[in-house]
Amino acid sequence: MKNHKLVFCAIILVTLGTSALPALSQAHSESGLRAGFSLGYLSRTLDVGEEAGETAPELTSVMASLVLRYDLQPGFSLAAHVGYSSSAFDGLAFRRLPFSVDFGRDAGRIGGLLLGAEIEKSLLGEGAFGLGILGRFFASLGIQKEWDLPGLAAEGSVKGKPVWMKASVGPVLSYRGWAGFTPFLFPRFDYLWGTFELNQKVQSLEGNEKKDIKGKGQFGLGLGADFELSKSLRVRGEAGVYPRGGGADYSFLLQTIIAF
Amino acid sequence: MAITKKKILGIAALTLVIIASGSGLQKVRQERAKEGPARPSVHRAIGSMNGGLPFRAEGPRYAPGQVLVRFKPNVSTQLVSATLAAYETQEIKRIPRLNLYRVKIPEWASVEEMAQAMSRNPDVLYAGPNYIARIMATPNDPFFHYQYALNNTGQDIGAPGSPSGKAKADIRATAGWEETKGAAETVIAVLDSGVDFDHPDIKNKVVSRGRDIANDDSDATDDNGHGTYVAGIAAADTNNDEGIAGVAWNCRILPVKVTDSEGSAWYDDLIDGIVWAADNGAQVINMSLGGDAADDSLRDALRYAHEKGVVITASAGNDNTAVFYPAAYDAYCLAVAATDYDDLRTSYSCFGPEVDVAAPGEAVLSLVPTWYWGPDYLPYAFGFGTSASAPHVAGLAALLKGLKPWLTAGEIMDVIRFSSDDVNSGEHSGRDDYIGYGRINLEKALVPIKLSK
Repeated sequence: MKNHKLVFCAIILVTLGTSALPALSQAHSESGLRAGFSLGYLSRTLDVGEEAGETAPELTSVMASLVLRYDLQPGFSLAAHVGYSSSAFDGLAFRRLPFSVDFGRDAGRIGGLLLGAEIEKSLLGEGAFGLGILGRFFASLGIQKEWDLPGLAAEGSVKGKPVWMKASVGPVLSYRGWAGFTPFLFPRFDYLWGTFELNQKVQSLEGNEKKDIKGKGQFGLGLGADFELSKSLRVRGEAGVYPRGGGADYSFLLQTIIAF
Repeated sequence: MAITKKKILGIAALTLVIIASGSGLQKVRQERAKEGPARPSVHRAIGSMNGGLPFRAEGPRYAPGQVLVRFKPNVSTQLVSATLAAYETQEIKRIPRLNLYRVKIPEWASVEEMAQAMSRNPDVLYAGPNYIARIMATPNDPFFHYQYALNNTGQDIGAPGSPSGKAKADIRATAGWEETKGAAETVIAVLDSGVDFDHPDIKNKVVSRGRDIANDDSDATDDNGHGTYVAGIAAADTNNDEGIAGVAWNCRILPVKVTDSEGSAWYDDLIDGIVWAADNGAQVINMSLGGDAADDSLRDALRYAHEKGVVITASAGNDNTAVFYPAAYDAYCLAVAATDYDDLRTSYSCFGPEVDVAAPGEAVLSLVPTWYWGPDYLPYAFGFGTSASAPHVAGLAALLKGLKPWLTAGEIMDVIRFSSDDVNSGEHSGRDDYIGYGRINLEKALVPIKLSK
């Protein structure tokens, strides 16, 4: 199943990348390098299979990254993200360890290295309305964290390292009728998956549990706008909603891009 | 494994260790023979809890269509009203001291969405669902409130002349049952004097008529009373409107009779019983018995069962001396000491480095055979000794086996040890020779531990 997801993402990125190849040859004359800063937040209810307890676990993550964007040609850009993520897994329980553990709100957040990539291409842009396609991929590679196990007759702890990824792709419908302000809709296929591995040690007693996680719901709708504050400064704001059974999850993104 | 049918010397014969401080079942029976029948201290007039229906922690987690919202202390009622109206909510109830409101939310919004939306309001301290609290899983067995060992509220424990217990001096059974009540597939072999198959509080919990090693047949009917008593503590029929609750609510009993009617067993019969139980589906073996002699064959039988994944529990003994065998075989067996209704070690409980954990053993209510007191009396009695303690631990082992069948016997033993409460930490901090790691705690052993940073 995990391989299928990776293959799917690879197909999307390769397809988009292939369509970019003709443009690459002209890139030197029509493109530019831009950099910026991105701040994001997401809240996603997780599906962990049959072991879900009375509360559905939830991943919340704050993501901050530096962005390097390369415009291959007008309306066609690639971007890379490098940054930091701070994730919490409220309600996620590990019941295969010798002592079951539960991540409540007090468990704190887990830091991680954030890597990401974006590819955006305008397909139709002659009139007031534009149509493009946008693909995004983010990976949070968690840094190992340790928690004590309170209340036991022997000292014990668990160490954990979550890794999660998020891929989204879909059309971007924009309105370009206003100078300096371009609102857009971004309906997308959106998939979140990953693993969270915990190792437990209480004196001689040791256990390990690796849990596959995935986000509930696979479709989302983003509503945002690009603000051209000056020729060299652009700000993008976006809010995303992800419907799922019993409610909806959401995300926010704020990006500032400066042209050199 | 071949069992050599050698009858070991008389000193090696096992004596049921329930006889302690002059108040065990055997002693009661002997005194009754001298003084005439003594009426047990439980009465038929005890009613059922909750109208005979079980309390179950089922249903929605929070009230539908409602949100609890707490405003900052300086927010006026006018501003609160305006804010609630802005969200199209209606006040249902107000708790002024906390500036807390229970509000009805509009139909177009979910509880989560409204709680999240209101949480973002700068005048709001907190907004969230109106969660539902329920009483914990409590069986409807009418004598459950005498079982201080499972749930001690400081109640009158019912035994003649006994004081009230200390609240929370128990094994946290009700909290543990919130996580699991055990699996019917988990079998506890009780190596003892047999089981009364006619007893209404256990007849539906036995796997089969078991094995009578002592008389070499396939009918482990109890001719002493001790085995029925021990089996009842581990896994009496629970939530059946009858009698008492067992620790391992849903698990079943495999009776293996290894003693004679006087409560004594030859080591070879005990060894035979251990091997037979391990080969016939037992995942847990309880032995509320012991002898003072070490024996390599006994140790090898324990090792055989342990390596097959069987968790073995045994009474430490009631002589205030060194730990008896088989409990003293530390690598393969959990040696169980006795505590009382105040979480104090009993004066008779054996001690030594082999003691792993403790469990209540003082005035513990359980079953006796239907013939024990005679037809006019309820077949229940209070018992005393580490015989009563060990099956509490066997019950916990069975719950763990059902919940986490992938754990080895050794790992389950460690979970039981490390989840215990060090109730004598004032005198002996950490593991000690009197109650080992402490009095067992089902909640810590079974319920997920909340992590905190």
